[in-house]
Amino acid sequence: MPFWRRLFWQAFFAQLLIISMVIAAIGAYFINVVERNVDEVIENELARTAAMAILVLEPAVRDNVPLTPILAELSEQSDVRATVIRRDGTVVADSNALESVASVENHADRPEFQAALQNGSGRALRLSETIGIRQMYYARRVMINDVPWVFRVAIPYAQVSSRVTGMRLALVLALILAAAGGAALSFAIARLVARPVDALSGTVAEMAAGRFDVSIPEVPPGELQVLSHGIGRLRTQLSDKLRQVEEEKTLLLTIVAAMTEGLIVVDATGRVILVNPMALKLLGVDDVWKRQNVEERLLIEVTRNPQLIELIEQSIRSGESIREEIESRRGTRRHLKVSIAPLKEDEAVRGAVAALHDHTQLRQLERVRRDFVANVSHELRTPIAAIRGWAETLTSGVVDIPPFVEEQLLVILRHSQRLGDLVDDLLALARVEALGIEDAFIKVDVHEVLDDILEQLDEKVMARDMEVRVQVAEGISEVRTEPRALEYVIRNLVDNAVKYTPEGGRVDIAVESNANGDLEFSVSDNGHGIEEQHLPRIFERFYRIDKGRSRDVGGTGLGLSIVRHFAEALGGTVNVESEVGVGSRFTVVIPRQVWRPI
Amino acid sequence: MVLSVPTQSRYRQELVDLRHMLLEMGGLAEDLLGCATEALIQRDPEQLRRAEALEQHINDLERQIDERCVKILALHQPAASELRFVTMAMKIIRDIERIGDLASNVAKRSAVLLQGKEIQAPADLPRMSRAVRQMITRALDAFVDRSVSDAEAVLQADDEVDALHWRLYERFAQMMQEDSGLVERGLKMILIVKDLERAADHATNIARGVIFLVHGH
Repeated sequence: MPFWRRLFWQAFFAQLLIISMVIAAIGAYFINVVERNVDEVIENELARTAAMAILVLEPAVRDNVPLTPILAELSEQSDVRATVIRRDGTVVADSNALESVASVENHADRPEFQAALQNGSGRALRLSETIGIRQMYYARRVMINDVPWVFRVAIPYAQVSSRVTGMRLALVLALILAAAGGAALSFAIARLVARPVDALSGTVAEMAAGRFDVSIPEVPPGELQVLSHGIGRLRTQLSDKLRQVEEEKTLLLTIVAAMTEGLIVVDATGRVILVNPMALKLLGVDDVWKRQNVEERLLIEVTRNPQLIELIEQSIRSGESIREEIESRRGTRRHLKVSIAPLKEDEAVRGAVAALHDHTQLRQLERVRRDFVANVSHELRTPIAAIRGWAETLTSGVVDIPPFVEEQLLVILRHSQRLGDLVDDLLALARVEALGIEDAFIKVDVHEVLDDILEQLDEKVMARDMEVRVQVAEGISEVRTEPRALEYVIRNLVDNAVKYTPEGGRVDIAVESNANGDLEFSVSDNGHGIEEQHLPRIFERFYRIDKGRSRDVGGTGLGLSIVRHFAEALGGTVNVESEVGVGSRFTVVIPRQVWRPI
Repeated sequence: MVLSVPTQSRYRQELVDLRHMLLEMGGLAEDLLGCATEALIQRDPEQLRRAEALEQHINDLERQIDERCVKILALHQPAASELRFVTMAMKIIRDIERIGDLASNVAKRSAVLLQGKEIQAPADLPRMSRAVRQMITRALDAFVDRSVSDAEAVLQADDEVDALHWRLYERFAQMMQEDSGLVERGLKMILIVKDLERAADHATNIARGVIFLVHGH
């Protein structure tokens, strides 16, 4: 800040200006007045002196007495120059030229002489041609014997002006002293005003720089004190708020750092705003980057994982959330589940936040499970098939065997068949639990699925002399689903219905969409029905209502539990209603957005 | 395009974009080599499908980066360190593209190997593939950080990779002498190892480029 902008100098100079203007005005006025007074006083004095000189000289002139001695006397008594002049301007006597009056030139052209002749008196301030110094002249006309004479007195102006100059000097000195005093006073006042303001502004500047421990300066009471108290309160509040913000930030960072998920926040240009140590670890770059020097860098500098970069860019571009699974190959190879959400502010995407979750173990478990399922299907099915094959061969009448042995063989055959079914069911269950089948959804023709099922069950239905009716509501043909799972569900339900309904019974299969637009498959029969206490538990694994009977019909106890699993994997639910003696009705409901997406 | 952006800041942005694309391409090449070696070592054919898409992407990026560099040179006439950066970028993408090509060679050869009977891979093979991948990663890290020490570490690691290459070469040669039924597969293996060794050479090129970028000579 240039000094003239400072409050102190502004106040000081303003006061100084006012003081000097006042002093100059006063000085000018007084000098004027004094000068005028001095002139007047001297004039009067001269007039008196002239009167006195006339008093002495008039009789001398009238009596024709020589004037020189009188003049000499006169000028000796006072330092006045006296001159006697005839009407024609001839100088008769002069106190400055006592002996050489004749050489004094004619005074007819002197202004005081002319004025005196005309008006009776005259004065002038001019350079004397006779003696060559500035003189003040006073002349008077005196009538002697009806002839006008002019008597003139004069004093050197130096004498007058020295008095005036002395007074003027004194005055100027006094004024300068006054001005100096005023300047000192205004300096002090300006300081008094400016110093607390300076102190306060210094404090505010310190606070603005973040130092809240500065002391608020003491200022004299008045507006400034109100201001300083205000600043004091402001400081307290600001530092409290800042501490609060700081604490919240620390807390947040602590939480973020302690999270078991990786967290990355980037702005719209792909620069890292925040990243937690877990994210760096999951991406295998924790040895390269410490958290401190990651921020403000481009995310691609931190991790060159192309999938992650692509997904985040995609989310920022589209403004939509993304969930995806990616791989990180850096360091330990990991499978990461990534959830990315755009950060929106008034519809504009400001960046994105990505949460990384380690799925490596899960993936490994799934792999182990898949391998297990594959192994089991191979290792268990082969011996079962062999047992079944031999039992079938032996009972087919190729060899002659005693009846009791044949009975035992049939038992072996039945049980090996059941064992085979059990393994199939277990494998199906393991499959559906192991993999999400959502990716495999395709469009399926319901009629084809139902026809297939009926064909498979045809033999059984005929054997039991049953009637199976199918009704598909109009407008439903294509359904988006996973065909094998859907087929398994419906076949199982129809199979059950056929199994548990007495010979000659009836099974109804209906496909329709309900009020919500959800798809409903229902399989109803007019069989025994299920007691109410069993209904909540029939979808449990290995739950049997009547152990003896269900083994007779060849159940494994897994069918309905698989049905429920598949129904859920298909995005739906399965329900049962039943009344003893009237029949049962199983319903699979698949929500509209799943089977008929927009 | 926003035309009101001052030339200077648009120029800055273009340099940042160039850096971004360059690293993206590097990341893809790293990933591709990762896929290829994992397919080979862990006998995981799923990786091969990914490798194919990656190679295409890398080649596209190389062309885009090349155009971008020429545009920057023509429009902004960069000087001093920026000029070094742009020329270095044009050089680096050749190396990255070559690494991508070599990695996809490895992937294609692995695909053939995966179809047949497994041959016992010596422990040096995963060791070498890991070393090569680390060299490439380290070279790109050196580029990100303009770190001469990282770049020099890459140059040193090359000796180790060369040693592993010769050990593996002799190993496979011996294997083919012992069992003539393995000649076909052994040759494939030798070619794969050679590809890896050359990929490592390109990593050292990148490292040298980084040293040039920092020191200017």
